[in-house]
Amino acid sequence: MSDLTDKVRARAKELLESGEVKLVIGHARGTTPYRSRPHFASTPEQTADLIHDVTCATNLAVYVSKPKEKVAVIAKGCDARSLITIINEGQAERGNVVIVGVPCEGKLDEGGLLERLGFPRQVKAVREEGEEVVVEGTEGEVRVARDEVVMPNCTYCRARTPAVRDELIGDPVPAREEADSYPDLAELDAMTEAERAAFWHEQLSKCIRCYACRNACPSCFCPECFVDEYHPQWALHGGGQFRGNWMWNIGRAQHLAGRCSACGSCQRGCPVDIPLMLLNRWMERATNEAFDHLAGMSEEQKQLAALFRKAEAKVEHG
Amino acid sequence: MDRLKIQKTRLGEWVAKLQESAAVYAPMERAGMRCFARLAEGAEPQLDYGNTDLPMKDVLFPQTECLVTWQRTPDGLQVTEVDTSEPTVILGARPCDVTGLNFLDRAFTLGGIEDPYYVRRREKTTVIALVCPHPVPGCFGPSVGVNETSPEGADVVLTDVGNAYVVEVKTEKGQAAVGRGGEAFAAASEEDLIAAREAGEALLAELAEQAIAMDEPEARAKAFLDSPQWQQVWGRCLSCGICAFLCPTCHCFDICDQSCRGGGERIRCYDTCSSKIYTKQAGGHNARPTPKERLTQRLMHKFSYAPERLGLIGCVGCARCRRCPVDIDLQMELGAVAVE
Repeated sequence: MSDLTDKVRARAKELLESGEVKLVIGHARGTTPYRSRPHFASTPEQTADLIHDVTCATNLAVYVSKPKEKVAVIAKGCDARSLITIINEGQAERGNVVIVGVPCEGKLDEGGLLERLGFPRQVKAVREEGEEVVVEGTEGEVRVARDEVVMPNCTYCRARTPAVRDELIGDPVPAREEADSYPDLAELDAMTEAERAAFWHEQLSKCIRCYACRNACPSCFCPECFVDEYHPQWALHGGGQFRGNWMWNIGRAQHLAGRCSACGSCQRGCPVDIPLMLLNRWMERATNEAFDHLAGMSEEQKQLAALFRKAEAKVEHG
Repeated sequence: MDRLKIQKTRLGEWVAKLQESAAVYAPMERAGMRCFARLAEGAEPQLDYGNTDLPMKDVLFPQTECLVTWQRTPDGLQVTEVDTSEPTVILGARPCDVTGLNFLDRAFTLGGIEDPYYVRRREKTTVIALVCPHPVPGCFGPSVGVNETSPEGADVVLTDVGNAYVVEVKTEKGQAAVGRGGEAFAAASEEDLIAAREAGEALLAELAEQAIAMDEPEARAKAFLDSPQWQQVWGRCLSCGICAFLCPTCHCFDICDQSCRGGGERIRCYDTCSSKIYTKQAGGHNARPTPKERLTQRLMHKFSYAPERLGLIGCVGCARCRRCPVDIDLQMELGAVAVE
């Protein structure tokens, strides 16, 4: 059992036993050693199932919705960014959320890992060791550089230690220097407009409209999503057709401008592997460069769309 | 009937013959995703894969289909019924997907009421199944009664024996499809038949390691709803549609009219009981307001109502629902639950 897991369990138990919080939201081991699942502990006994390791990818802020009692969230940097974002947007009282920060050097992209290992039949355990991820199988160990098997967004993370937190379990780790240079967008940047349009046409045509991207996203908390509305109908319904899929996916990305924590939950959830983080990062770069705004990095931050600064008058509109 | 075989190098020849009179759908890669797609002339089907990301059902029950179009004209409203059904061959269908078709066949004709859109496609479709050359990780087809080596519902079954496929013709439709291949087929030798049988046995032996206890599915489902795990499971459900849209047996749909500039279309598209608006009524009442009620419906439909009404369990063991972003695996939960 890892050191971090022990500390998370101990702290969660303390928080519940002292009555400081009524619920701790963390992760537990999933159906396989390379999966974890969100876990809700409302009694000290239930903290025994908590874990924290390289598999804990879900952004847990998605389970915080106007809590009436105090909840603690075992929060990676991106979870914390999302929590601050939704708190600033009135979805939770700051006093009702205890942000128990955990450092993070990237979380596993399960699909990528399995493909890389040739879909092994039996994985016994997965652990981190230095800069490597070690996969123990029935036929010995395989070591892979962490950066090659974590979610792409983790390789340019600016919040490997939660920027806003009530406490921190474990030692802080520095942000990735790549964050501001947007290396992930280089390929899109190199395309002509027509090539980019063709790229997105192909990718978005795959969308089956399961809305896992939306439902896994803490920032998508609208009681009724625009895409579900009939009067007016903003996007054609049904998957597998480009027009409606385009409207949905571009609409989703635009609504997240300045509100995305770059956690990667949308892309991780997508069953047809649409690189949604490229859209989100495209929007992030735009809002970052134009307004110097990054979602959830400070508690004082206002919602981008509700903010006007004099300097903005100088921004050129294309 | 004599057993036949076809060399892999001659498969294209057969496909070309089939394409003379039918649209041929086969597994294809599409921007990093695998699905059944219409083969262009001369395109090679990609048969040596794990399993498609999307189930085969959307060839017969498309994600979105237009039922009717209308256009306002000087002479009044012109309404046109749309029928895109055509002679179709599905090549390389996996036994799980084929078994899913059996389920859809019953669901779309339940009580003697035929769903015309599904039924007219189904009648024009020939299914050529392929026994999985390698066991798909997580597949538990045999646990839910899937015949992995000669699935019911297939017209032809191919078994990979190295350089060739051994061919089992199961129906008249299948006989006609094989007949079109003509000289591409040869009689299978005794060795070929032994190789096919051994391939099937090896597959079943490997799949046995992935088996899930699924006897008494209804009792298991009910026991699970009373178990302490249940609250954690529905508590983390995100209410997305992955499990339903990727399921070979899920068949719920929505119908809506989409109007634009004096014309429009009536479409039907997939819908899912896990969606929070699925049971939302006019006026705002929602009969299944939380994931608890919605997931209960999903579980009970698959493992209790469907066996009762259709005589079939609503699961074919393909494990696609394991794409769940929050690791909900109802079958694993049912397999692990204690039944009295």
